[in-house]
Amino acid sequence: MSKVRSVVNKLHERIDYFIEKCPNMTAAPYNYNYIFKYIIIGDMGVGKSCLLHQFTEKKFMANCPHTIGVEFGTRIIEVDDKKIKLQIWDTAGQERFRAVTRSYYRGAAGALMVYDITRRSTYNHLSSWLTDTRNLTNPSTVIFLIGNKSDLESTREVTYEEAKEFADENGLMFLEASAMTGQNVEEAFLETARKIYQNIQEGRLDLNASESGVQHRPSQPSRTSLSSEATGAKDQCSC
Amino acid sequence: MSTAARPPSLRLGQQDLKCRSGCGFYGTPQNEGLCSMCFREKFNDKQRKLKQTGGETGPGSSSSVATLDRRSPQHAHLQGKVEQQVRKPSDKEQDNLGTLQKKKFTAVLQKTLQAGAQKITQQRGHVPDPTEGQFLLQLRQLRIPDDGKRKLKLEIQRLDSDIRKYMNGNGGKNINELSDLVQNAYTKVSDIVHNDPSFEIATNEDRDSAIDFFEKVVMTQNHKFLFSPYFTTDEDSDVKVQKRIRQLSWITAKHLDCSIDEVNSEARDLVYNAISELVGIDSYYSPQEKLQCTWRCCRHIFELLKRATGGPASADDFLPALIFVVLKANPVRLHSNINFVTRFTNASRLMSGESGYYFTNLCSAIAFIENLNGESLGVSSEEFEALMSGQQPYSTPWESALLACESLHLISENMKRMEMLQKRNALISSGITSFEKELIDFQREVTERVDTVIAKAPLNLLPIKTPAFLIGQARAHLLNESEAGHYQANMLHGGSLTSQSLTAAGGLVKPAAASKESGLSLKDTSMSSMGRLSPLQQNVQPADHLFASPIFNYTAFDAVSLLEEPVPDANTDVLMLGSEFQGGLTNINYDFDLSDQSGENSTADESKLNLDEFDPLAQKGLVAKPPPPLPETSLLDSTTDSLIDSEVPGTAVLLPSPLKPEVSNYRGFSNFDIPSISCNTGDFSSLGQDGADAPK
Repeated sequence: MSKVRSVVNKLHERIDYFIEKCPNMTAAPYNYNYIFKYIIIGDMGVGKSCLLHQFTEKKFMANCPHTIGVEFGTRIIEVDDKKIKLQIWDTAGQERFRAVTRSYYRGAAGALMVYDITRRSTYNHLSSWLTDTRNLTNPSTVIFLIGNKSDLESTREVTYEEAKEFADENGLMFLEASAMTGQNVEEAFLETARKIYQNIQEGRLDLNASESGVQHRPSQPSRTSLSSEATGAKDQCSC
Repeated sequence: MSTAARPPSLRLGQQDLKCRSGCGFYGTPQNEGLCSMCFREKFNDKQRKLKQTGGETGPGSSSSVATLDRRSPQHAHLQGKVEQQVRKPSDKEQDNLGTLQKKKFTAVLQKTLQAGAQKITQQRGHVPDPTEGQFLLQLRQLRIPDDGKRKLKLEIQRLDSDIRKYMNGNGGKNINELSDLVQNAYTKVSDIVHNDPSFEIATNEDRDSAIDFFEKVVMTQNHKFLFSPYFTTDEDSDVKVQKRIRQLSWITAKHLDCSIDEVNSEARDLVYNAISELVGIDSYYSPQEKLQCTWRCCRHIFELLKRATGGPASADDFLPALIFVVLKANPVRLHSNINFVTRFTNASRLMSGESGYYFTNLCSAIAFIENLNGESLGVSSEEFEALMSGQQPYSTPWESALLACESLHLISENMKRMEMLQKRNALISSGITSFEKELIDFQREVTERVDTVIAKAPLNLLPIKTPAFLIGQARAHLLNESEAGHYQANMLHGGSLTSQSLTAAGGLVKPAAASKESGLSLKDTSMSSMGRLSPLQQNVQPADHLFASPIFNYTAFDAVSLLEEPVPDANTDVLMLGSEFQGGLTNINYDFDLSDQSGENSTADESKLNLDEFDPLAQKGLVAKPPPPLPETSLLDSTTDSLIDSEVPGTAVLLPSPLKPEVSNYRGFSNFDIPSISCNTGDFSSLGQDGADAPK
């Protein structure tokens, strides 16, 4: 333990050094205006974790000095010149864990329902997932339907038209994506964020409610100079 | 975050563990720092107060005054102890602490009533000074303005007083009200930190640090009040959960479908790390530190899953693994810890952030364990009940790994047995391999031998076919000889030479072999006939042989005639005469040669006789002689008489006539007389035969 503590102390000293030498970078991890909470739901094996991994690791920057305190499933994006921190919660899709994973839905601003286009049973269970989502989240929660593994066209069992019809009937946004090739992965997360931000702008989402899943961080006028100086660090690292 | 990463080292002396009333017994946090007796008395006093206040107002106030009077000597004792503790440290620390306390007292006195001030000062004496000192030091280290620090300290004291007021109040207590009180304080402090001008120049990171510090100080100081309060069912829930997890110790990684390798030492070390972090939750006072323990525990689990699956871990694998860790850890006061964090930490911390995510998973794991049944584990309900009640014995790889000495011994024994089995299996495999090779070699040898035998087999087949074939050939050649005469004899000699050359060459073909053997037979017959005829001329006894040889030839012809029709009998007579003529011709030629060389003639006759004796064909001929005469005795008699009469003069006439004219000229007139008679008769008979043949 003493060895670990000494290492931790050295790391802290290094971090303090970086903070003093690079004042612009200190604002980087905390320079965001909103925090949106997402949950990813769907049957087991549809590729929920692969989608999350593809989204969070795509913009990885190896030279980022802040390698401590990495949060699982976190990434900062930009919507309408506003920096938004997405916190994405992955869930277990096994049937026997359905009853105990309802606490994940609490405070979620966005829900990504994932199914596998090569397995019809995962599509047939979407109604059940949708019912849980409606019952356990705010009415203002944005629900996005994702058909994963779109690169496996030869083994497709669910057509795009069928899923699109289901999404339109239930008021969901829909895209087919591939965690393997990265197709439409970023678009799904970004479209959800744009929709949530639009709800905030239109007043349909109450920021003061504790269950909204959105945390607002008002920017200070004194920090405009820092933000202008930090223009070079627009690409946010999630490491 | 930096403050959270550096956990403060709290030093609890023995004094802190004893009862606050100073009776000398040890107190527990659940009894508000009192021993069970003092706690009971206090509880009874509160109940009496409630009854009296319900009844009359006057007696209640008087009783309350009495209770205050009772408490005053206890608090006096506590103050004395505090003073003693203060005296022990160095002078500088004494001065600092004294000044700080004075400041606190003055500030408090300015704002509250005198009675309230007395209560607060008495209560504040309960807090251990070293902890408060550390918090003050940390407060100075925060990178916020001094005005902000003062405001933060003010808010800390305010929430402290609110909590103590509620806990010491007379009204009914509800944990949810207490939780709301704390959450509202968090919201208020957050608004102050973000919106108050005193925090204007602070960064967002520093503001978050200030909010974390606020929560940490308040929760650490009030842990004894807020953790598992006596008016909740947390303690009972803890016992239930612990008993439940103990009953479920038979669960293995397979039941949960998680990818933890329970036997792998590396995986087991990571599980041990996760378990130690999970058990360590109870040893921290503030919710942030408890969440940090949860965070570290889950980090170890994710590391474990990455190594097991070789890729990014997914939540489908993570939750079963966390459930497994909780079942094997069975941490103490798990339910109370979960409820403490749920009620009194910042709500936004739980609904977002990595710690919140992991904490939510932990709550899900515990909920799953509490509602567990056989179906959710893939086990039948009967088996589940038997395992739960302990009727059915079980042994899990995890528990066997925990029993280090015995399990290692068993493992070593099993490993040895496995090694023995492997050796035996290797021997069997090598034996099988060698046996296969032997089989292949045996098959090859057998095949080769069979091939060689088959190559020899055609030779065995030849002797069976040759006799009939050779007999036919011999007969054909004999007929040809009778027709050809001298030319046939010359051809026979050539054929024999060619057959000998073929045998020397070594090439064997069936027609060649047949012709060879037929040639040999013909040669033998010709040699035997020549040998037999030649000695007749020189000796009288050979004349007897002369009779014998014609008999042999005649018998053969008789046999043929017997087989054929009686008309061929005349043919036989004609053939006999032809043969005699042929024999005579050969004799003539031979005598001619012999007359040229008289000395050689005698030696030649002797050598020929010897050859006849040694020849197997000659012996065969002798053997063949007896059977033909017996069945043909009657025919032989008649034929012999006619033959003797005809043959004797015939042969005498034929033999000397072409040669003896010269010899008669040299020898005398006796021989000349006889040939004249025989020549005449012979010439006429031959002419007659030819004439007879023509009309036929």
